[in-house]
Amino acid sequence: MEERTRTKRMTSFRRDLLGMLTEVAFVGSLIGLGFLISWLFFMGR
Amino acid sequence: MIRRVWREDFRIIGYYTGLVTIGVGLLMLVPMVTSFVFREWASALDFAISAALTLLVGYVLALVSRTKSTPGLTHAMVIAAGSWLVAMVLSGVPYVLSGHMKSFLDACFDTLSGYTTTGMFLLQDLDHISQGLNMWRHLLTYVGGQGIVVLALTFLIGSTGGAFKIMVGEGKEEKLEPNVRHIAVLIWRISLIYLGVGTVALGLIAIANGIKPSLAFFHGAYVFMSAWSTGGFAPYSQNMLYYHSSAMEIASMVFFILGSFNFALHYAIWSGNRKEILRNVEIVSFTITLLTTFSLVCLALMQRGVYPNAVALFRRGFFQLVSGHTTTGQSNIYARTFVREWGPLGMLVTTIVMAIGASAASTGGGFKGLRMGIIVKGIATDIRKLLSPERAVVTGHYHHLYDHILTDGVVKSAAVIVVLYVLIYVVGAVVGMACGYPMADALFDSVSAGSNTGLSCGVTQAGMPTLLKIVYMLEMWMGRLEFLSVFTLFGFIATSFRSMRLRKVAA
Repeated sequence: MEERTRTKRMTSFRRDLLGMLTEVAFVGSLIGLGFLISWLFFMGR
Repeated sequence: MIRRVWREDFRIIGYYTGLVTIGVGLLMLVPMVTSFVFREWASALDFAISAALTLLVGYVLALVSRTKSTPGLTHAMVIAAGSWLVAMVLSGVPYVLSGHMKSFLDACFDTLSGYTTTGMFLLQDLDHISQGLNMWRHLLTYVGGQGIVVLALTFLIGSTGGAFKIMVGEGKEEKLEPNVRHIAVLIWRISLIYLGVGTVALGLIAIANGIKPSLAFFHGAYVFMSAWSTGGFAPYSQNMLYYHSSAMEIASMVFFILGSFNFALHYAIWSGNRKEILRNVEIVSFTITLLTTFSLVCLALMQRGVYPNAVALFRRGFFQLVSGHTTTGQSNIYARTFVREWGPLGMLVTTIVMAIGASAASTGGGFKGLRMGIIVKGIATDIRKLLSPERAVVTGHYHHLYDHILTDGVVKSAAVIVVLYVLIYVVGAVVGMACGYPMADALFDSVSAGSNTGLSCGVTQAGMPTLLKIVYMLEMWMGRLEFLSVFTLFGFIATSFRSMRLRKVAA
């Protein structure tokens, strides 16, 4: 019973962590695109 | 035909509003403890008095109108809209007791701005307020972002049949789970996990910037609560400019973009459906509008030669634009910079992104990316219909968690809400112009209030006309609750008076 609970908790923790990392990675790439646009504007000046 | 209002209707509304008020009273214990930690005895006393008053009002209200009846849709809408007003007034008490407000109206403006996650403020001498009051300001915005009713649902109301209806009245219409209490717990779980991560990350950055460790994590918590709830408050009057730290700005930007996502999207991603982030209509809409409008802002700022290099352009321009688009309102430039340096194009683009706003069922405001996506897809479908043979069946689709067929009803509902938002933006701008402000400035601050953003180009300050303060408060309240529950409250009040008159005539 205890083993099952621990496994369930670990699965839930892993899901939460992966979910959070996916979101942060997406937002990070969006911010990166923002920087790229600023850089391109200065390059093309 | 509109039904008559009976005593039982008032009981239901009074009982649930009382419970939400008790929730607000309990919340005041957090800044009280903060004041104790920092040995701010006067501030602790302010919060003790305010908490006692709020708990008393809530308890009396719940006791007098005690009922076992379940709220219907009308009650739910009235409870949602009414609770926000009661919370606004009672939450203003510690502000007034602190001596930092010019009037009680200003205190109500600030608390409503906090609850609606707008971020405009009229508070005087912000740089010298107590840590307790600072905690209260940020807590208001954090709780407001999740929804006061969501908080009450989690801890006080439980899973009554009408609970989901109350939540809908507060603009959280996504049914993620069959049990409404589970939805509330889920929203809070995601928010609290991010609160822990955000406070530590921002606290460490604050320490690296030279802030004392004992204070750094409070700063981390304040900035996180402001960012995640797309609120826009900051502990100092210079907002994010105070920190002079690009790491702080980027970390905060990550959290306010995350905060602007639909809770249903967070839930889908955290449940393992990670591809949803690339397919969701709101995210697609947000990405397209953000990158397009940022290109326009770059053009405007480059033409005027405002920033000397790409890093400065990105740091100020992108941060401000994302802050506007997510309806956060955190700022790393001075308010008048919009007028003096950004110019007409920069201001117009920022106004447009604020008007569009964040995702539906998120902590953000504006008319939302989902509605924007639906309307654009609706227009595209209509054009496809015109170009197709007459017998062809053309249907539009959009993806939000799963594929939806785009019906005329869906497009119409989205368009109605967008029109209502535009209407409040215009009304606020007209009143601003009538008060003597230039058109661009009046429109900028009006859209900022109506979309619950909080950026200002200098109009919003304690010295602004009282009429404009009231109009902005109405804009914040209506914009946050997405009109329906506010209109229901007005209708309920009118029907109550009519019912009373009918009863008098019958007697």
